[in-house]
Amino acid sequence: MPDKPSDLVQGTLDMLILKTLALEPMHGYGISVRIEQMSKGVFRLNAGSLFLAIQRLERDGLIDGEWKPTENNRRARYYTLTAKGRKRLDSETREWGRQVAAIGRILEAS
Amino acid sequence: MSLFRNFATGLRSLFRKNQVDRELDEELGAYLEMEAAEKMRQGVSRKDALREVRLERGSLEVTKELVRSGGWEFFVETCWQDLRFAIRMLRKSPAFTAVAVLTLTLGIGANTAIFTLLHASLWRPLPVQDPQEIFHLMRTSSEGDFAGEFSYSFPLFQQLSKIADSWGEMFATETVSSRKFSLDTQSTERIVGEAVSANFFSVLHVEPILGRVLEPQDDNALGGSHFAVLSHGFWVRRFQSDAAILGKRIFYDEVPYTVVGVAQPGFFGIEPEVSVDVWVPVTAASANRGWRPDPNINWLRLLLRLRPGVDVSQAQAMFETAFRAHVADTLMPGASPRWKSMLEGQHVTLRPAQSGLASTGRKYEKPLLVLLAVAMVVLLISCANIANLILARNAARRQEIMVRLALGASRGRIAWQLFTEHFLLSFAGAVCAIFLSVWGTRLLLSLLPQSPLPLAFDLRPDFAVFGFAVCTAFVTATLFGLGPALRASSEKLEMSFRGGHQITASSSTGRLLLVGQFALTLPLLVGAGLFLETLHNLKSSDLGFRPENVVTFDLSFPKGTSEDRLRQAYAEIQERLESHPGVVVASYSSPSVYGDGGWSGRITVPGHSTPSEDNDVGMISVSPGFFESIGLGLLQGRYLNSQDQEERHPVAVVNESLARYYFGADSAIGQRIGLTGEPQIVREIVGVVRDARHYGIRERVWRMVYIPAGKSWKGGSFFVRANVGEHLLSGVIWAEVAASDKILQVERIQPLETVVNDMISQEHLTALLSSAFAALACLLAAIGLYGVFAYSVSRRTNEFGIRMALGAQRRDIRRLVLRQTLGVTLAGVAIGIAVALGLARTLAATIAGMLYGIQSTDIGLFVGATVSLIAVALVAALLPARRATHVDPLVALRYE
Repeated sequence: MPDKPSDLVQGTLDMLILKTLALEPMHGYGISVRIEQMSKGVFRLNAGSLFLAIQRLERDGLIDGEWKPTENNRRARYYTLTAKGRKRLDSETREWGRQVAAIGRILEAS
Repeated sequence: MSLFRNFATGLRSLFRKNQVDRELDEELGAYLEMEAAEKMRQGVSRKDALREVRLERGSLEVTKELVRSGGWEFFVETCWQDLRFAIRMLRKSPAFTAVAVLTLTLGIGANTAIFTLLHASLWRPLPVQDPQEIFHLMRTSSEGDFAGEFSYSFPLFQQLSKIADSWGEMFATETVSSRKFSLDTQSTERIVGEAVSANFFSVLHVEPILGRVLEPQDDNALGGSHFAVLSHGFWVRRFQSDAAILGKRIFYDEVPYTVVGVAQPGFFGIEPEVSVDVWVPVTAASANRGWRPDPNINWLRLLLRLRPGVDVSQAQAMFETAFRAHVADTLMPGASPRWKSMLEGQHVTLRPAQSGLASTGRKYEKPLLVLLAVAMVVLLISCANIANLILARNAARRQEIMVRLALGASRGRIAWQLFTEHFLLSFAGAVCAIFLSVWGTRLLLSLLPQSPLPLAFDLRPDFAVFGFAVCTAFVTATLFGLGPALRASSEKLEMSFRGGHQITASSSTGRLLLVGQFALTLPLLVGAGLFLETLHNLKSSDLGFRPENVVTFDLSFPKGTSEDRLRQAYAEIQERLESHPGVVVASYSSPSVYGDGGWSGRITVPGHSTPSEDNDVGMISVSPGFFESIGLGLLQGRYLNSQDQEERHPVAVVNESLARYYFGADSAIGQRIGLTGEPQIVREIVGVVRDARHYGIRERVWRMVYIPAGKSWKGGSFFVRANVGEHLLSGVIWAEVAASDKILQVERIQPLETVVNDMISQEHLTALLSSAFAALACLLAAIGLYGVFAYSVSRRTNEFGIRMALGAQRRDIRRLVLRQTLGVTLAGVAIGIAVALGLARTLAATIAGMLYGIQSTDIGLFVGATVSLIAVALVAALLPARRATHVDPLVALRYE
C-alpha cells in the first residue's frame, strides 16, 4: 500500500465523480474503486461522503441513476452523466486547470 | 429544472419514506458487499472482510444517517417530528397548556383587535390602481383656538386645480352624507351619497361595470349635468343588479338625477369608514345653493393623484404659495380681525392618502396607537408570566432532558425541540386571538360614538391581520420561549445525575422577570390614572348647562317648505309636547347648537366696540323656553318669552363673557347691539345667561348672542326636558310629531347627555381601555408573583423545616417570605417609576393634547400607583407566606 490516503481538496469530489462517469455509467462502488485506482490510492472515499455527493449531483440533474443487475446477480444503482453534467464537468475542468496553473505560477515564482 | 427535481425527490422521500429507505439500504448494502467480495478475493475471510470494510468506509447506519440528512426534506421531517412530540408533551400537561394559551389569546387578541381597527380605518390601501400616488391636500392650522382641519371654497379649488395640472390631477369631494332617496315620490329612505368633481373617477382610475362613470365634461355644462353613478353594492342591494336602471331618473337629496352607470365592484369611495351608495357631480349638487362662487364658504376637500416621480415637497411648496396668495388677495380684505388671525395660521400640506381621507381613523389614531402600545406592554407582561411557567416546568422536566442529552441528542436539537413547543403554544394563542379579535373589534367600534352615517369599516381579517397575529405570535414565542429553551438545553450533564435535591437556579431568573413585570405595570397604572383623571375632569367640568333628563331631536322636511308652515309646525309641536304631563319644558333652536360648528357673526355695540377688534360672536336663534329646557342659568334680567318672537321690539340675551367683555362691571341689561345680517335692527339686551360650552367641553367659550326665533324660521333642533324616562319620552315625541304636520320626520333623537359625551369619545375610549389593560397587567403581575413564590416556597420546604427546627418562629418565616416579595416589588416599582417619568418627559408633547386638568408627572398619581401596586403584590404573596409558616419541621425534614 502507498502512503496514507489523503483528503480531497475541498469541492473537488463532485468533479471527480463526474469525470469517472464521463467514461462509462457506473455504480457507487465502481466510482470509488475507479477514483482510488486513478489516483493510485491517494484518494480513498468514505461511503458517507460518496453517497451524499451522489445524492446531491442527482438532485441537481447532473447525473441520472438507474437500477441494474450487477455481474454477481445483485441489484445496484448505475449512474450516467447527463448532458447538463457533461457541461458542468467541462466548465469545472477548465476552471480547475486555470486555478492549478495560477497556483503553480505563484509557487514557482520564488 | 434541477430545483424542481430536487423538490420532487425530496417530496418522494418524505411521503414514500419506506421505499426510499429500502432503496438506500440496498444500494449501500451492494456497495459494502462488493467491497467485501473484493477483499475476500485477496484471501480474507468473509467476517474479517466485512469488518475491515466497515472500519475503512464507515458503518452502514452512520452512512445512511449522513446521506439522509443531506436533503432539505430532512429538516422538514425533523420539524414534523418535533411538532408531534410537542403536541404530545403539551397534551400531557393540559393545565399548563390551557393557562399559557389563554393568556396568549388575550394578549395577542387585544393587540390584533386594535391593529385590525387601525388597519381598516387608516392603513389599508384604497381598492384603486396605484393608491400610493393619491395625496390629500390638507388645509390645517395648529394654532390655539383655530387648530383643526379646514375645507376649501369652490373658487380656491379651481385655482389650485390649475396648479395641480403640472404635477398630476386634482379632484374635490363634498363631505359624504346621508340624504333622502326616492325613485319618484316622497320617501323616508336614506342613502349615503357623495358629491364629487366630475374627474373623480378618471383620476382614481375607477372603471364602470355598467354604463359609464362621471366624466370631466359633466362639470362643464352650466350648473353641472344631473348624472348619477351608483356603487356596485348599492346597485346589487337596492336594484337586484337590474341593468334597466341605466337612464332612469332617481331623486337624491330631493334633486332629480339620471343614472348613467354603476362603478366597479369593491369601490366604496375614498373614506374607509363609509360605503358610498351614489356619486353625483358637485356642480349639480350645489347648483341651487348659490354659494359656489363664494370664496368664503368652504365645503370641499381636495385630493390629487401625483404623477410618478414627482417631487412631493416641491409640489407642496407650489400649493402653499398659491394658497397664501389666494388668502392675501381674496380672503384677507373682507375678513374680520378674528378670521384674519385664523387665516394667518393656515397652511396646506400634502398628506399621502393611499388609504383615502380616513377622517375617523385620523381622529382616533393617537388614542388607538397609545392603546396598541399599552396592549403590547400587557402582552410583554404575560410573556414574562409564561416564561416563568416554562422555567418551572423545565425544572420538572430536567430528568427527561438529561436522558436525551446523555443518549446523544445535540444541545441545539433539544433547544429547537423545546422552542417548537413554545412556538406551538404561541401559534395556538394567535389562532384563538384572531377569533377573539373579530369580536374585540366590534366591541371597540361600539365604543365609538354613533355617527349620522352608518360606519362601514371592512373589519374582516385579511392577510395583513393574519400576518400581524402570526408575527406577534412568533415574536412572543421568541421572547418567552427562547431563553428557557437555551437554558434548559445547556444544563451541565453531570449535575443532574448526582441526583438529590437541586437548589433551583430558575428562581433568581424568575424574580428578575417579576421585577420586569412590575416595572412595566407601574407605567401602565400611571397612564390609566392619567386618562381616567382626564375623563373625570372633563365629565365634572362645568358645561354651564345641565344636559341630564333632556332629549334632543331634529326634524326633517321637504326642501322648499315655506317658512310660515315650518314656524307653525314647530310651534305646534312645542305646544303638543308641553301639554304632555311628563314634559317639563320643550323648546327649539337653530341647527347645530351642539357639535362641530355653529353660526357666527359680528356684533357692533355702539360706544363699546371698535371695528378693528375681535367682534366675532356665536349666534343662536331660540324659542321661548330654550334656556329653561337645557338648564342654562340666568344671571341678570330675564329669559326670552313668546312676545319677543313678534319682533316688534327686537331683543337679545347674551352670555356672561360677552357682557363682561363689552360692559365690564356695568350692567348689560338695556344696552343696545347690532348684528351682521340684520343691519336695520337694533336689539336691546334683556338678559345675561351663564357661559355654556355648546361646541365641546375643551373648546373655548364663545361670546354668545341668543336671539328669539322669529318670523324667518328655517328649522332646527328640539330640546325637551322631562321627568319621565328617555324611552317613554321618545315614544311621546314620535307620536306628537306624527300627529302634527305630516311632512315632518323625527331624526337623530337622543339624550342631550349622549351628545355631550360624544364630544369626549376619544378620551372615553382611551380611559376605558387603558384602565382595563392596566387592571389586566396588575392581575398578571399578581399571578406571576404568586406563581414564583408559591413555587419557591414549595422548593424550600426543607429549608423552612430546618429553620423552624432550629427555633425560628412562624412570624420569622412569614417575614422572610414577605421581605423577599417586597424586595422584588420595590425594585420593580422603582424601575417602573423611572420608566414612567422618562416616558412622561419624552412623550409630554404627544400626550399633552390627550390630557385635561392634570400633568403627566402628577405626584399624587405616582404615589397612588406605587401604593396600589405594592398592595397587590403583598396580597399575592400572602398565600405562599402562609403556606411557608405552616411547614411542619418533621415532615419537612423527611421530605428529602
